Amino acid sequence: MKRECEGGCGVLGFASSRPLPGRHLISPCTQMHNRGNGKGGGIAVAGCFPEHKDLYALQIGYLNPAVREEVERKFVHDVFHVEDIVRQEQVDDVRDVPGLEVTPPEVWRYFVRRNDQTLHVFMRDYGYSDHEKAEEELVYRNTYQLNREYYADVDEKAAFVLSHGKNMMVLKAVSYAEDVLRYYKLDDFPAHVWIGHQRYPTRGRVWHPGGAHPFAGLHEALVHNGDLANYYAVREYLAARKIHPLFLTDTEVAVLLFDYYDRTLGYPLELTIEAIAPTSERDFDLLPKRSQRLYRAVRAAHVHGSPDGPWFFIIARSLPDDDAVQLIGITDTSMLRPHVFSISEGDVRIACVASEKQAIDTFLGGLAAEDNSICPVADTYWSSRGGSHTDGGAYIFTVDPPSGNGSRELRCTDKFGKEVTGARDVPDPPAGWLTSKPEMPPMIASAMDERKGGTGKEIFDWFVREVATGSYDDVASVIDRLVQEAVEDDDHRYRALTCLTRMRDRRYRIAKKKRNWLLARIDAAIDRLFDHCPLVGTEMSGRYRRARFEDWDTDFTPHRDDAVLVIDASGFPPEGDRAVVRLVVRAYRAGFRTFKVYRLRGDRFIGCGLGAGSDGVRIDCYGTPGDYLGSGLDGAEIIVHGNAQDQVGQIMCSGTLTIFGDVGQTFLYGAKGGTAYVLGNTGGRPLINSVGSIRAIINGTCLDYAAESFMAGAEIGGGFLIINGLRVNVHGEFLGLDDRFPGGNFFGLASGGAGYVNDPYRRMTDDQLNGAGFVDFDQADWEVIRPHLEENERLFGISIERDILTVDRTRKWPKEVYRKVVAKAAAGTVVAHG
Amino acid sequence: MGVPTNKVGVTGIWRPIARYLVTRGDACITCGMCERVCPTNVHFRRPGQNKMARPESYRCVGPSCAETPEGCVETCPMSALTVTESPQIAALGDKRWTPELILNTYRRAETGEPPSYEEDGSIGGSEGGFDRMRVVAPEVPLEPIAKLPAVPVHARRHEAIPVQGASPVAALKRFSEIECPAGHAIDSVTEGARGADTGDTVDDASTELPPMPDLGVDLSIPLNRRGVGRDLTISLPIYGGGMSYGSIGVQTMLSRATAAKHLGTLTCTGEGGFPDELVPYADNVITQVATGLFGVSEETIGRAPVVEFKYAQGAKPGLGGHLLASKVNPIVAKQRQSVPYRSLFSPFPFHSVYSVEDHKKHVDWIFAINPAALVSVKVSTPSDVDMVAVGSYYAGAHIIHLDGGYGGTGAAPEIAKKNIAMPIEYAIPKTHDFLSREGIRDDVTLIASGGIRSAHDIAKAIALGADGVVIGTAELIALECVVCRNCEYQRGCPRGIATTDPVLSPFVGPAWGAKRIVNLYHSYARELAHILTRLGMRSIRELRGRTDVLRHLDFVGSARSGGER
Repeated sequence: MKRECEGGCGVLGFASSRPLPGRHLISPCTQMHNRGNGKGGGIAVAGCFPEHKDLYALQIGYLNPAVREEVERKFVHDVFHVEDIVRQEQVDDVRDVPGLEVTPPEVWRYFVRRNDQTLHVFMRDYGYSDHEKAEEELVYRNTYQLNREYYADVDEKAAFVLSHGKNMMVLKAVSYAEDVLRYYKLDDFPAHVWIGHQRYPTRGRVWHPGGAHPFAGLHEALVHNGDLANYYAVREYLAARKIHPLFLTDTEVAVLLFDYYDRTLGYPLELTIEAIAPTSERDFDLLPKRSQRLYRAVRAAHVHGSPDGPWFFIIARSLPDDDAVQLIGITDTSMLRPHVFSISEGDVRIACVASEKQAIDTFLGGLAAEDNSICPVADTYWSSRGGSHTDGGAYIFTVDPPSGNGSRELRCTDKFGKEVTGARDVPDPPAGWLTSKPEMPPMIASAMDERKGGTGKEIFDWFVREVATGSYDDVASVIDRLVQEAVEDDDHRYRALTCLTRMRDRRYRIAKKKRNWLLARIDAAIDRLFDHCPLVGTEMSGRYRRARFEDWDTDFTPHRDDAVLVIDASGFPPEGDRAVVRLVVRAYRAGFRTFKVYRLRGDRFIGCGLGAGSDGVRIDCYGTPGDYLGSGLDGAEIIVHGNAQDQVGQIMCSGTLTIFGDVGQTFLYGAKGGTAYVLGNTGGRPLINSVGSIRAIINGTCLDYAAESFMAGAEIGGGFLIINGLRVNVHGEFLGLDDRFPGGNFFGLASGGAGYVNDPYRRMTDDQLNGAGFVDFDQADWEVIRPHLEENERLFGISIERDILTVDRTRKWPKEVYRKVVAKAAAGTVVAHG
Repeated sequence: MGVPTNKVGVTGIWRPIARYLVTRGDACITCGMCERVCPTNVHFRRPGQNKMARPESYRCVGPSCAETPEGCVETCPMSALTVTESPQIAALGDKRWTPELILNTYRRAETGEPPSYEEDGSIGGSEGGFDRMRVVAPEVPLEPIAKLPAVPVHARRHEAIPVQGASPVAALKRFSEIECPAGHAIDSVTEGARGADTGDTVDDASTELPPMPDLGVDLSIPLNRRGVGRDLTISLPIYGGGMSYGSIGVQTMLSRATAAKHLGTLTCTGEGGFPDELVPYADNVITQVATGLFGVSEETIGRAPVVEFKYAQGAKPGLGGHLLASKVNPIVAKQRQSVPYRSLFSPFPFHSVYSVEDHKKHVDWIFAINPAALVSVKVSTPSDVDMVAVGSYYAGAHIIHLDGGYGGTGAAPEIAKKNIAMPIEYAIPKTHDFLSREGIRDDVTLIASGGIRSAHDIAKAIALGADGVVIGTAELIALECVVCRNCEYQRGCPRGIATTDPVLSPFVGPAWGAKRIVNLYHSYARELAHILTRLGMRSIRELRGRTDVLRHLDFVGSARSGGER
């Protein structure tokens, strides 16, 4: 039997303390179209049948409705006691949902419970003593039989079970996920946990709805992004346990594994995750002794079933015994698939997990548009470190059973049960604050008047000193005033933009306010400011010209040398001939040198195609730029005012990248030169295979495999990577992380260049260096890195004196703080230091 | 003419590889009889000398001539001459690149003609792969032709194929007999291309590249079949494979690029960067984007007509690249922007591409940099290669390049070459059929590579379903590579082909090299034209997927009744 080739995909899941309707999944799924190909989409919902939460929701999809009576008789009425039968609503005419090439199955849902007589026979035949266990197994086997008889074993696929768990359901089709939502009319269907999946299979015409994700176990549904390299081995492992997949995809195998550990073996979730993604290498050594013993046993039993290769699972499940529902995200131990988690605090607590941050932003933006008490920006965004001792590479979002007043709580924990929260104890602004127009207090008004002629930087400094710690409305009034003034002339516009951008980029004390709300307000203000710029081709003075997608055919010859092109990215497709990047290239060729691109939502390849020698070009990105930002950059400067995604700066040759946030996977892969500054963290494999004179400062940390195969020239004068290992606390102060570099592979296989880690406590050990060594950090090193740290200070406000060289209130020498790592070939006899 | 000549491997620098060793004993009385009878000038006197010069063994056609009553051995009154098989032959090549194939390729590169003598010049001795297949022309009556001197080394292989009457095997045999058109033998070998006697590398102007012969058939293939974007048609269904700067020197690269430009086809940079010397040939140079991303920049992507993603190399699928420290001399290090004499690694995967949607993103990225580029996706041949091909096509690729495991230079480990992935002759039809069933076969170009050694291999690959082929080692052999497999040994290639060593690499003169490669392609073209004519086809495109013109020896005759060998 041949497996379907499983590609990567776009996945999104969210959990909420309050049930949310399905329509919120539509836009983010649409945003991730380019991660699927419309040949398989699906959704899973948990916590959706509160009125029937103790009944199995057996959902059968009929491709051939003629078999329904027969199937119902054999697999429903004969086996179970049926409490209710519901036909899943669907649109009347399949053509109402454009893009649906294949009519999705007709779905009938049977709320069933055990038929005592059948169960009795089953228990007797198979030797079960526990009624609950037997019932679960009966449901499972019944489904297996049905799927074989009407789907897997026949050429004419007639019917299959979509899901059968309690209080959850799965729907899927040969299409995009949002088409499933539309076809089955789930726009207003409320649930606590949703997952959506865009599939990108490659196996031609044999796409079939049964092969689409999600796949159901018992009470869980799983979607998957990636590819199990050891699919056959896992199948063998399952076959040895008499578990046989039917749908020829590795996702099904994954959910079968989960079900086996979770239900059949009854493992606690921590051990189920351990069995799927074993803690390895150095991370294992750092586990507590008790966990080590336990994990070693788990590994001994299940390592052959542990999926290998790039994968990321999102699981939605209900816990019927506890009346709870869960969303779980698990990443592979090598961190090969991109993923972002987020959490938003507030009246409604919302957690998300997605392939791309932009999908989360789109989702939250959609929610905020309907409910003005929800912030369009999450409190925190993060990635997990697969197979690690820190978070175990997995996060679990549990919607607890209702309390006395019927409301539910959402809890977020990592694999080890450690809780994750956003800014919980900080008050939210009143609902509707984002669009409110608060009066400006006279004190602030007069202070602003005084600064009428000041620069944006001066206003920002004043704002941080005087206003930032004030009320939400104080801040809002300043923001509004800046935007109002901006329309006056270019100087005001520049001033407002500088100030607002700094307000967004910098970290400062905001006292009793939530930063995500401020960011949302600032972002909206910046968008408004740009919206006020005249369109290209307008006969007006002023440097700024704005272009939208509709202006594609306009002449882009700049009207003056210092013209600034402002591009509203919202109408552009994320890639292809009509993407933002192509407009930038066109305008660059026509003579524009300064670009401000805003409302970015995953638009890819920004800064690509400018060619060599693009010095003097500057591109400011607002929003969430997509993958491959500045990949190939050769001269230009790109500034991202926020987070960037994956593959930033691939093969960059020269120029500057500045990122006021986090970066995703494979940052600066194969880069040859240039300089990059990152305020936050990066994903896995930053600077892998970089050569030449690339210089990068990561002020946060990275997941693992930093500077693998780094070949960047001489140890002094070649390329380098600085990891500062800092985080920002709620007061806007930079503090050192406990683990400046948490991974087990720094400079693996490297043959050139240098790595500098800000590690004053000498926590980093030799076993984190994979074939490299520590050498003395001397004055020459400091001369090399100091100019870059100074620039870093200028950009991010990370003071060399205060934030880097001062440790425990003591001023240290640079060599006491930084540690230098070089390739083994260069280290010669590597001397152990510290 | 009468007696066929056997002149191979003539150069100025390297002593020609001889098939037969002619020795003159002390009994010689310098009577000069041998000089008079020898049809190929093995025996001669240097001007002003009375003594016979040392025999030029490489010109000798062997005992079949020498030991006839008219031959030198029999004629010599003192019985001072012997003709034996040269020990060099036993040491040359391997089962896949047999000495005959190598000598044959030298000859093609010398003359631009297919070899005129029957010596298995199209079939290797591996007893697998293309070597178990034959192209047959069932409908065309075959004319018997004179039996030419047999080749003792490989004669044994024919013993396995009984020649009987009109059996398919006989047809195969006869076809292989007529495969080299008679009358193309070249009497004299153009010497002096490289200043034969001075020992210097001379790129003299006489190395003008010969024009493409008029063959009467259409060998060109389009590379962009998607219906949008720019047209790119190559004049032959063959182009040069990726060989990085570092694995070969700039002289070799220039030879290849000059030839590609002259021929109207392409060559490929490999992943070691795009040396400035190649810029004038940019329209014919594929930029390879491989996992190490060495030398890949906006500039090199921007100037390339085709950008090739090397996801895997058939010779070492699943393994990354490793350029040994000793080969990273200062020139290579400069090109790759690394440190001299430190090892360089290319990871085994693209760390930015772990799935098909990543791949699509990757392709889109190339288009973002160079919208006019065609994208070729080079993959090895895993068992699901067909799905990989379909996925690549849907992601926007123009060319699917299947790289089988038979190729690879000495840099690829033997264990990888011989044990990983599917043989190319299985992968091509599998992919071709799958693409056809998918209805997209005519929208994508399928290229095969990995151990393509002769025009017959090319014809076989195309008949199996490829549109064209990529050759690598054959081009190097045209530059007088002796397939010693020491590409990675110390300073690299002792003949200066696969090395950037400043002393060794000038052994390859670009103009000389270009001429030899052009000749090689021309000889392939002539032979392909001949094959097509025999098959009654007017265009190489008609041959694609025509597996009915192939016979696999395992399934010929009785083997058809189910018994696999």
